Amino acid sequence: MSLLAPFQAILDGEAQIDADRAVVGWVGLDIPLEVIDAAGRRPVRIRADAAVSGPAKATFGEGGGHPGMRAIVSRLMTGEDGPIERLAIGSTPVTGVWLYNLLISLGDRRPGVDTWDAVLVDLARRDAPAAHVRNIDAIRAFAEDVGAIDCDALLQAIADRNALRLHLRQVDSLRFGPSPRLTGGQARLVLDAAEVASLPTIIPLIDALLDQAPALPVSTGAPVIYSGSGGPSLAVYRALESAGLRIVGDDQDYGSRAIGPDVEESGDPFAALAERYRRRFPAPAGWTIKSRTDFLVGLARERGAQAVIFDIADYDHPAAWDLPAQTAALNEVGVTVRVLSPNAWRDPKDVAAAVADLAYEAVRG
Amino acid sequence: MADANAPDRPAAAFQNLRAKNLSFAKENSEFNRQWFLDLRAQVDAGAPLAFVNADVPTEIFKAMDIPAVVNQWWSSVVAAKQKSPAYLARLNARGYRENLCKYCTLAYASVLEDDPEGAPWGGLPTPTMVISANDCNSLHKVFELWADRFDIPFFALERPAPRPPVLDGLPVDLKRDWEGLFGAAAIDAMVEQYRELIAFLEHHTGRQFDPSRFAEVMRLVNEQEEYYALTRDLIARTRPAPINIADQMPATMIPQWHRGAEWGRDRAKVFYEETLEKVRTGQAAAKNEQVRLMWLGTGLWYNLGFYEYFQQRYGAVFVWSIYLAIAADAYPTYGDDPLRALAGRMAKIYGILNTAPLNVEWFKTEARRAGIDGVVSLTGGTEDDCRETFGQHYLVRRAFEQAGIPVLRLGVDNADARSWDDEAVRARVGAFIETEILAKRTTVSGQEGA
Repeated sequence: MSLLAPFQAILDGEAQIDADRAVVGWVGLDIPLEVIDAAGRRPVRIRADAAVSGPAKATFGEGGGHPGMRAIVSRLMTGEDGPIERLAIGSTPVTGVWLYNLLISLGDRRPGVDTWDAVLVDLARRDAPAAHVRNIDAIRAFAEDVGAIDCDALLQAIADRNALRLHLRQVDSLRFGPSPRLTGGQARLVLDAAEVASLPTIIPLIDALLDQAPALPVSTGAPVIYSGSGGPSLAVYRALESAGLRIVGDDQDYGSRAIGPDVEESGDPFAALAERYRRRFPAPAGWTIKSRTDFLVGLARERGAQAVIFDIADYDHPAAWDLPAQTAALNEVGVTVRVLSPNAWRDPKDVAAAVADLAYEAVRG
Repeated sequence: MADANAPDRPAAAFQNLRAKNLSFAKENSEFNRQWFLDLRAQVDAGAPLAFVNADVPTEIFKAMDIPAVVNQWWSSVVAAKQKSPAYLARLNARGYRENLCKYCTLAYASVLEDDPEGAPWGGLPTPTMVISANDCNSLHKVFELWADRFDIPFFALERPAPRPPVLDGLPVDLKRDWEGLFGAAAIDAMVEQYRELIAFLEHHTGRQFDPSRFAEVMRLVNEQEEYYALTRDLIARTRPAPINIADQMPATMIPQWHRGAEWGRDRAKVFYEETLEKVRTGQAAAKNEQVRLMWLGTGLWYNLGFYEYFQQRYGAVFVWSIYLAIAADAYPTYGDDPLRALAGRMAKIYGILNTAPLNVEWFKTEARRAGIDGVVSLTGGTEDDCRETFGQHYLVRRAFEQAGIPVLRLGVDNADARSWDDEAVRARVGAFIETEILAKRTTVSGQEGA
């Protein structure tokens, strides 16, 4: 579909975009991107595919280690995201803290990696007044770090990001409902591209897509939610959709959940950003099993999903703790559960066979 | 810690009939057992029981006279009773997959036991509250399961990240300069949560926090830990080492779980005095000590006899484990405000054990102090480890390599006997001693001779 080609080009690094803006790389959904926008920088998500070992495995990977974290280090080493002025790492999940510690421990900076100028954005997860105040201070400190301390500029950036989120929700909604126009994979292309392009670049592209959407053919396939361990790769996504499923939502770090809530556009912008953080959608690392279960059941109902496909990688422990409760709750409301092999992220070749009956049942039904 | 040789221990898969080389080891075990029986009686009589993770400051509970059982301690009891395979299988049968953390969940698995007669020490009494911090991404979820199972309140602590750590070696004074090391903001955040925890405990138990009693607890803890520091230093500088870690670990950890009580302080003192006496009288773990080894990681509680095999075969003595060393360096903490000092202690324990670059510098310093020839690391080698780190082994190996010390990674679990192949692991450690330490030593001395 040619309408989607520009988004693919952005993700492939083939589109010449935003060359005038210095890049602040980010890791972790809790980084307040508005702060980076207000500093006149381009926030770029470090899209690390765990299945790609990259140079970090050979250099620092002795004794194994978390593949997701390894992939981020590899991506930094290969410089695929171009020159990175600063790297902002969120403290949730805790893995982010360890990544930060690793990067600053590598005192003997190696050739090509001298751009690992990392800053940890340590936000408290506790829902307590003192923690909220502490988070306001942490966001303010981050703003000072990247040079975004102008409140008016920050308020404008907040309004702009809210506008982008509205666009992204509209795109996300094109894959569910009575007349869906996008597959899950197509929706993800757009949502993912928005995480690396600046707002002036991405919003006109999305507007064009939304204008054309009603004319697109209806997307078919049994509607399912994808609860995957997070990562930019669409390999498992494609395998599922090629087997006759249509992914209508995601509950982890890429896709639907990554859009997140809006930010209040008036008052103290730092307090507003901290408040958005407090209301963010639950992820496996950092939230309770109950909140995760409620969120997933709600998402499945909202989007009319017939099944939830769990793709929990063997290295993803928090999500695995959620799984039994989520399975029980979904079964209770009549949503089918399918759990893929914990190695599907490495090799998705058996994925289609694992879900073939779901598509068949949907057609029969 | 658990008494692996307790009389009610079922037939074990391991040869664990090792001799105990400290005269008070049996007394410590018996005290621990009696303490647990007393705790059961108290709970049966209506006392509250807090079940807490190891990253929770038990000093607060001690000061408030609230009985507390530590998650990892109970796990080690279960593991030492050879119950881990059966209990973990029950957990797996409920849909929790096999590669999830065992050390932090074995205690939870143990409450799935439906035969109280078969439970270690009669089983854990039902707690009235659970408390955990978030040293990994899963701990809060494990404690949420506890809270759900027993319908009890859960207080979740959260660890703030320290300010960018010092990269130029260890700070000089870990006992007093903890605020400089971690930053006032991180300490403030922890103190804030400790105050909330105290309010939570007062609300749920009706017991009051007495600051003067708490200060006394902190004083006792520091006294106890200073004895451990003396013992650590003594073993580090003595050749051959008077005792190995199979003796050190229980002698440290049983009183450690009772820190803040006079008994804990007194047993640490006895530990030091008896070790000193061994040094004075020339007693040693291995008279022909050839190699001094560091055990990096949590203790092999279900198989303490493992450590002694290499003494007999190679004169290779495991002289260092985290337990005594962390007691010596992280626990003693001084400051005008006891609650802040407690935050400093807990920040140090976590930082020294888990946070690069601080932990790497500390391991290196400790290896030098103890005259270590080789390091055997428990974990590593997998991509699905529950610690969810990357690069940690590289940093540690690089540091030891710079110090000329070889490292072996075993990649096994300290609480899950299912992952242990005794013969294979002995062979690997033996080969490591032969090829990476003894052979190279021969080569070097041969070259020097030439």
